[in-house]
Amino acid sequence: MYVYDEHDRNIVKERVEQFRRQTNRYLDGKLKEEEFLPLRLQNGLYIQRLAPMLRIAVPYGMLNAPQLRKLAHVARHYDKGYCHFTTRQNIQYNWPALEEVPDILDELAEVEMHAIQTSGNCIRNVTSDQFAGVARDEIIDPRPYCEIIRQWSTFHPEFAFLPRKFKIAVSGSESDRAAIRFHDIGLQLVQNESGATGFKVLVGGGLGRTPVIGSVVREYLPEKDILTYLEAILRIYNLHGRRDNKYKARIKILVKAMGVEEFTSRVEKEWERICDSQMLLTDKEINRAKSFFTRPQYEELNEAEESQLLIGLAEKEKGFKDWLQHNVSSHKVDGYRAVTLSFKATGIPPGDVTDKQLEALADLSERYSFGEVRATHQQNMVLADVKAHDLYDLWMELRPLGFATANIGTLNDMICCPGGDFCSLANAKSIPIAEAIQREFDDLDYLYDLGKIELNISGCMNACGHHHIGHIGVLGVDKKGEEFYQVQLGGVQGNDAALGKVLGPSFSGHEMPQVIRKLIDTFVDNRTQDEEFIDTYRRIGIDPFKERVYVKAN
Amino acid sequence: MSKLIKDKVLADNEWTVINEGDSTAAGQKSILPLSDFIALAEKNEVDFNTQACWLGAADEAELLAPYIKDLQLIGLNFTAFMDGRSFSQARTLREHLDFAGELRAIGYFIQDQMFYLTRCGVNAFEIPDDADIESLQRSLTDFSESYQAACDEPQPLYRRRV
Ligand code: SF4
Repeated sequence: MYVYDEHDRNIVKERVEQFRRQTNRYLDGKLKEEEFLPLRLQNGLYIQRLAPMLRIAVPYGMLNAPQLRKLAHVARHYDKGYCHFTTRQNIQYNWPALEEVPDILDELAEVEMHAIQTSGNCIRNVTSDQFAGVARDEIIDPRPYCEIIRQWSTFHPEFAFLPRKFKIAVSGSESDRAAIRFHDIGLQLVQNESGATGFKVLVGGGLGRTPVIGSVVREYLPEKDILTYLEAILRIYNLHGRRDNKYKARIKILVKAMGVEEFTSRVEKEWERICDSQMLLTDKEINRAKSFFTRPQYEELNEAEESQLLIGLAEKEKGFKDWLQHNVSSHKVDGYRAVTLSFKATGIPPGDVTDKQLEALADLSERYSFGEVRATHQQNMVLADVKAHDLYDLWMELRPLGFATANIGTLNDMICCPGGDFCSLANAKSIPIAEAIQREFDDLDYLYDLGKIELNISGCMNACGHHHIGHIGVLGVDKKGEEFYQVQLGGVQGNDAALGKVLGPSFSGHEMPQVIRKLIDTFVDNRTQDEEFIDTYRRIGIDPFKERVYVKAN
Repeated sequence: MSKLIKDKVLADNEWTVINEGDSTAAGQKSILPLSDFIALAEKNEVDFNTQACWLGAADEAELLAPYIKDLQLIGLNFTAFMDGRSFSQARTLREHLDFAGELRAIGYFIQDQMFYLTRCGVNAFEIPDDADIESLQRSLTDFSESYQAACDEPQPLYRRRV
């Protein structure tokens, strides 16, 4: 994991002091509300429906044990004893007091954390793959590049007042787990024919009101050119992106309006002027960044023996077997596994975690996984480096903590934004819908039979719950002041990215479990053998689903 | 006349910003809107000792390329402080066109943007008469260290780290 040096520490410290001065000026009436607004947003501070909300950055999802303990401490002393993991691998506190935010930031700085650029019209926290560094299908570890981009984007003087927010994701593996096709910039690490590292660059993807799949602007960009190229893209966007209408201000709209070709040629032209500048990366810097993400001290284990042991244990205990099958993934090192802790126990708002759980997590990470955890954009957590022969003990410890629900990848492992219970932008509540669906599908074995189904729920068009790219997407809408839910089908987030299609007229909240039930029944009736939901959908199309769901109305 | 902070200290403000459609008084040092400036320049009628130019956020900085060596001052006008185009204009003027004169922020920006603007090459700020100079100077030095290369620091931190 990246470790701050004195420069990084100093920058974060100066930020806390800067924000304290800004907050004081605001509280003293010397800084106008509307002028304080972008400043606090760039420090992750929203004024929400019930209280301020503070969003903390978790750069590309990585956290260590001291950070988890600090987060627990903040949850206990400044909040109501819990926090929430977002779909962008960040953390939110829902009840901090405005006056105390500088103190919270001060505390977080002690463990090299901050809230820098977690909101506002600037470059946001860069996200990546939760299995970075351990995935078997990894081409290149994306984390050193994420860190390089994080530093470049932090307090970038030119791009703090963009037309709109700007999100970058990096993937280093064959199968994309970072949703790079749905970011303002998506970067795929690749190797060219001669084995040199570079990036495939996608621009203009995004969800929200106008969902778009990103376009490739460069098939291969040498690694050292990444910062100058990003700078060229951002400059074109900053100068030409629309500022008259916030719903048309994202880069995706600019790319569409200009056309990919024209946009690309402008970027390339700008880039030619700056590609030889001092922002060209150096081998030294790339190696420095890589030095923080080296192989941990893995033990030499015998894969055959380890998996034999697991098979034996699994045969004896079904619960363990289920967990092994659903929550544990392969690892590139023999005898190791990556474990996903489910934050989707029925009745707990997806992504919510208490101070006690955070502390327990810190202990577990130290005992089982080199003291590190990763947040996932599905709002779960990963212990990335667990020895196979420790899995049973870990499972036993996870169960009382509520992290062992063996539902990863199932319908009940839904992505769900905070929605109307917390978010002032919401059209409808999302958490109660998630819970009602979880209760409707409470038979784990049945869920396993259904296979992989991604259900994503957003409380409004802003799409924090990524509803466009769920196999089943649910969107909260407002109909004459009442909460309704629109259903979409067929969204996919990975390599074969697709946007969901609207099923038809929306439903009231209490209808939703039955609507999902009918969709699932349609799938089951039409499915061939072990076909997955999304494949059945792609084969038979939306009509059979529509007919089943709306039959009563006709 | 508004106050001026130039090169981080309070300075005399000799130049008057001329809005679109306004006329200038003889002998007065004037910062003209781009269209007026270009119209004069095309007729070779600019007196560069008393006439300069300001850019609106939507104006293209590159249009000043032919006059860049003669201009003593270029203004960057903020009509809304959230409009960040001036930041890119500033860097374009400094880094692509090698503008060496005074680059002055005018209009509605806020003191919390002055550090970034300085990094982008702005070295003068027109500020309201009642501005709290001390607080404003503090904002100018919000950070003592930056990651990126920009106009104030030619090398990114990674080329300077020891
Ligand atoms: S999708 Fe809408 S309701 Fe949900 S968190 Fe985002 S803004 Fe709030």
